[in-house]
Formats: sequence, C-alpha cells, structure tokens
Amino acid sequence: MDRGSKFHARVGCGAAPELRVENLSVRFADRGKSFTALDIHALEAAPGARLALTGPSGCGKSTLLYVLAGLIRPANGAVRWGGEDIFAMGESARDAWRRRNVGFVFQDFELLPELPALENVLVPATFARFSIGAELRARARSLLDQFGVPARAGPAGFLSRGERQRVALARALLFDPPVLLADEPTASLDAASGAIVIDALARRAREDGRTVIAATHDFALIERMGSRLALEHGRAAAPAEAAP
Amino acid sequence: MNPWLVARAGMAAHRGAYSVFLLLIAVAAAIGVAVSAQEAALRRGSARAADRFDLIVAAPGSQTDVTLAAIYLRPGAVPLMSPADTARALAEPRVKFAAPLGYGDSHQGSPIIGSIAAFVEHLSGGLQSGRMFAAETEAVAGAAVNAALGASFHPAHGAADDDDDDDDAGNAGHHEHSVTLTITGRMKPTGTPWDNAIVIPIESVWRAHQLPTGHADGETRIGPPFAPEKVPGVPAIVMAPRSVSDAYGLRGQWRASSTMAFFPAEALTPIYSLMGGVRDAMTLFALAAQALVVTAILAGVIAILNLHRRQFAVLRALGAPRLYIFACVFTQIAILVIAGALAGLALGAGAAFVLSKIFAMRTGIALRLEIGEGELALVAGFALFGLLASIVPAMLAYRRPPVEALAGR
Repeated sequence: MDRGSKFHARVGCGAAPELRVENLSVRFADRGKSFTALDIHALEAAPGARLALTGPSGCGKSTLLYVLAGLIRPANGAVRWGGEDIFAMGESARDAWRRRNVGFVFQDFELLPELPALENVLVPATFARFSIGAELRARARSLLDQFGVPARAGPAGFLSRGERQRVALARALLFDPPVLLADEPTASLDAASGAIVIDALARRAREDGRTVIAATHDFALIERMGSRLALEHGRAAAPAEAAP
Repeated sequence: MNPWLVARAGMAAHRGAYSVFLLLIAVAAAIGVAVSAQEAALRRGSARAADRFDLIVAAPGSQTDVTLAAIYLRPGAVPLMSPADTARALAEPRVKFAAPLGYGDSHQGSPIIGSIAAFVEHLSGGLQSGRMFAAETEAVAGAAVNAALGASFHPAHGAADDDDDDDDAGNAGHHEHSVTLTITGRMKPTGTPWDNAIVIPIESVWRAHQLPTGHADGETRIGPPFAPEKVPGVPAIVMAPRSVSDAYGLRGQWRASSTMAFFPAEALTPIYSLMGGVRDAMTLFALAAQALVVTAILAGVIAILNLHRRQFAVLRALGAPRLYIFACVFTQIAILVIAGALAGLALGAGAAFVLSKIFAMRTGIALRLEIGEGELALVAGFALFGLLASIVPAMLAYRRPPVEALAGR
C-alpha cells in the first residue's frame, strides 16, 4: 500500500521511524523489593529493520517490547522513535502515538472470542478518531483475505489457533502502522501455521518497509529477521547482530 | 471513540451472569414502581368511590367504620341511628335528597342495599338498561352484578363477605328471606363497590326484617316522604345538600349527641395519611433494596471485569486511551442499569396492573393505573444511582496500569 495514500493521511500513519534506545533501565518491585528488569545501554534499529529479541524466558524480551511501545515507563533512559522521546510525551499523546505507529501481535492472539473475525480486526478503529466506514471495512476484509481467513468467519473463539493468530495479525495491520511489535507470535502455533505468520511478518518488513521487532524463541522466525538481540537477565548478552 | 463493540463482546462473554444482574435490577426497580403506582391508584380509586357521597349522617362512632360500610360496602358492626333521628334526617329540607342506607342482606356474593331511587340516579347517573325500581319487590343491579334483567331471587340474610370474616357481630346465619325480588334495571358502571351491589327500596329491607316500612300500614308506595312514626333506624343516611353552605350547616347541625355527620374526605384523610406512611416506608425499603442490589451487582461486575484485566491491557497496547477503557466498562454497566430500570418500570407497571385487577375483583373499586412523574422519578433516580455507582468499576479499570496484566504479574 502506498504510504502517501489518502488512507495513510487519514489514519495518520507515516513512514517507519528510526529507533534509538539510550541508557534504558526498567525497575520492578516484587514483595517490597525493587529489582532491575531491564538494562539496555544502547539499541538502534534503522527504519524498516527486522529485529529478533531472543533469550530465555524471563530475560526481559516482552518487557523491552512494552517499553518500546510506551506501555512501561523506564526508570531511566530514553526511547526515541524518529528522534522523539516517547516518554517525554504525556500519556494521552503517547496513546495516540502508539495508535498511529504501532501494531501489536501477542502469543495468545488476545482476540475478543465472542466477536466475528472481521469485527476483531476492526477493534482498533473503535478507539481511533474516525468511524468504521466502508473503506476501513474493505481494508479489514482485504487483510483477512490476504491471510487466508474468510471475512465471513464466525466468532474468533471458534477459529483454529493459526487462524486466530492471522486475525490478530490483520488487526495489527489495520492502520498499516510503520512499526510492528510481536511477542512470541508463533509460540502457540504448529509449524505450518507458524510458517504462515513468519512469512507474513518478514514480508511486511521486507516489502512494505515496516520496522518489525519480535520477541521469540522460534529459530525459524529468528532466521527471517535481519538482526538479533540476545538478552540475558535483562541485559544485552551481546550487541545486536545480524541474524544467522 | 466507540466502545460498543468491546462492551458488546464483554456482555456476550458473561451473558448468563449479566442476565441475572439485569433481572435483579428489574425486580428491584419494579418493587418501587409497583408500590408507588398501586398506592396512587388506590388513593385515586377510593377518592372517586367517595365522590357521590356528599355528607354522611350516622349514629356516633367511628367515621372510618361508617365510611367503609356505607361507601365501600365492607361489612362491619355499625350502630343504627335512632328511629327519631332517622325520621328527622330523612325529612331534612335543605337537601336535594336524603337517602337511607340499609344493609345486611346479600345475593350470590352481591350485597343488597336498601335506599331510594334518587340515590341510585345520583350514584350512577342513570341506568344503562331497564327501569328504576317502582315497588318493594323490584331491584336495580349494579353494572357488574351477574344477574339478568327480569331475574328473580330471594335475598339472603347476611353480608356478602361474611364467610371471609371472623366478625360475628350481627352475623346470624344466611337464611333466605321469603320476599322475591325481581331485577328491573341495571346501573351504569361507577368504578366503585356499588357496581357489585343490588339496590332495592329501603321499604323492602325494613319489611324483610319485620320492621315498619316507613309508610302508613297498607300503603304500598315507596320512597320519600316517609311517615316519621313509621321509620325504623338505619346505619347511615347520605345527604345531598343543595349548596356548600347547606353542606356545612347540615354537618354542624347533625353533629349532636345522638348523631354524627361528616364529609367522606374527613374519614379518608387519616386513611390516606396512613397509606402515605406505609407507602413511604415501603418506598424506603424498596430504595434500600435497590441500593443493595446495585452494590451487590457492582461487586459481581468488578469480579467479572477482573477477569478482563488482560483484555483491557491488550486494548491499551493496541493504542486505546485510558478513557476508552473507562467507556467500555461504563457502557456495559450503564446498559445493564438502564435496561434493568426500563424493564423494572414495565415489570412494576405490570405488577401494579395485576394487583389493581385483583383489588378491583375483591373490592369493586376500579383502580386506574397511571405511571406518573413519581414512578418515573423513582426509576430515573435508581438509574442515576446505578450510573453514578458504575463510575467505581470504570475508574478501577481506568486507573489499572496495563503492564501488570500484560506481564502476568
């Protein structure tokens, strides 16, 4: 889709921004004790980068994704997207920024099981500043079609796991956001369904110029990412490197 | 911002629990509406029933007892006026008519009241069919009496409701009188207990009870004027004064050592006051019940919404502002409260309607049910309280940081 289209102008999505993380530190409290959950000295990703966050469970991959999305405020440091520190924004401005710039895919899909696939895809439009019109419905149908899910599919709770993750992917892409964040997007899927999702993520980054950052254990997904940041105990085990 | 889609999904996910909540809210609202509407209808109906009874003269005693007996035809031990007072009252010149009321007999559940034709005309505004009684053996039936014109019957001694009561005063059994009465006319509907009554000439009542008939021996004429020395005592006399000043003058005149006189409103006012007090108490109980129901439901909703913590966190991750989460929660509860209140309004009106029908069947007093400002204000107040209370769970969801749910902490 042409990023200069009327649709993009209307939803406010622009070109993929550059990511720059500086001296990032996130602290959590557990039973009265504070501990450092994340400590990243520096992280950069060029517009359109594909970055895999890897490491054992609990190493801080998901936390880093939530920080990059502006959902967790770091104790120190800055997260700059396109040169703008998102934590210098007020909360509502950060919500609006996230709405315009970030698509999120979760391990467990996080759909509304009672709603049909099409309405699940349209959910982000319900908190956008414009109504769900024919144009947006057509785009939602087109995305479902691209991912092989019938637009007339019934309640999401009755879809297969693979279909549900593809619906979640379509939801993340509704506004064609320049940044796509994925938290273990293939962990709940079988190999065949996982391959479809991996292909979709990789293709979106490669062909559409989106920045894709995925926390994953899936070697097949890591292989398709352009680079990889291995985390251990909340710290970068090594500088980001090209994926194998 | 349109939270409807997510709110709808939330309600669909817990439709069982939400249906129970809706029912509880509806029943809580309905109790208040039914109590209020029923009391108002009862007040209007009873006042309308007393409209045609301008001034009542009776032997000294309880105005309430006389009112219940004379207007609402409830059996009771009302003392008789002395024959002399009765004769003087029936000959009162400052009235359009002075109608004696004599009761104690019945036919197939309908009370039989002895009086005069002018009172029947005054009470029902004329007949809907047939003609007025013209002899001691003739009768006029109320609009709801199950007897055809031309039907004959023997009146039974004893009031229509004696079987239901423990009152043994004057209840000397239900033997039939030998007199045969024939129904010659039917009154127009009055919406009062008199619709279920049979009115016969007072002379017929007196004769059936082996009393003087109000006229010289051998005279078969019915109605006034009565021969003073031939008039027995009656429980009550309804006077229709010619003017307001006459009404007050007569009321003063007949308030004496051996008689009392009162406007029905004087007896109804304390009854209404009591009814109002009961209504206020019932309304208070209903409001307390409503508050408890809303509080209990909110606790249930908060527990349900807790299950949706992660869903709301995900919505935040997708870009939803806090206000959207607030709106999703508030919309769900608001729909529940408003739908419950409206259902309660309908349910309350329905319950009051059924109660009115039962009451009308038992008393003959037609209750015109109206859902007025009072009931609407009650439901609106309940809904407003529910909506205000809904802010609590909505604020809890609004304030909850998404990261806890997203990180599973």
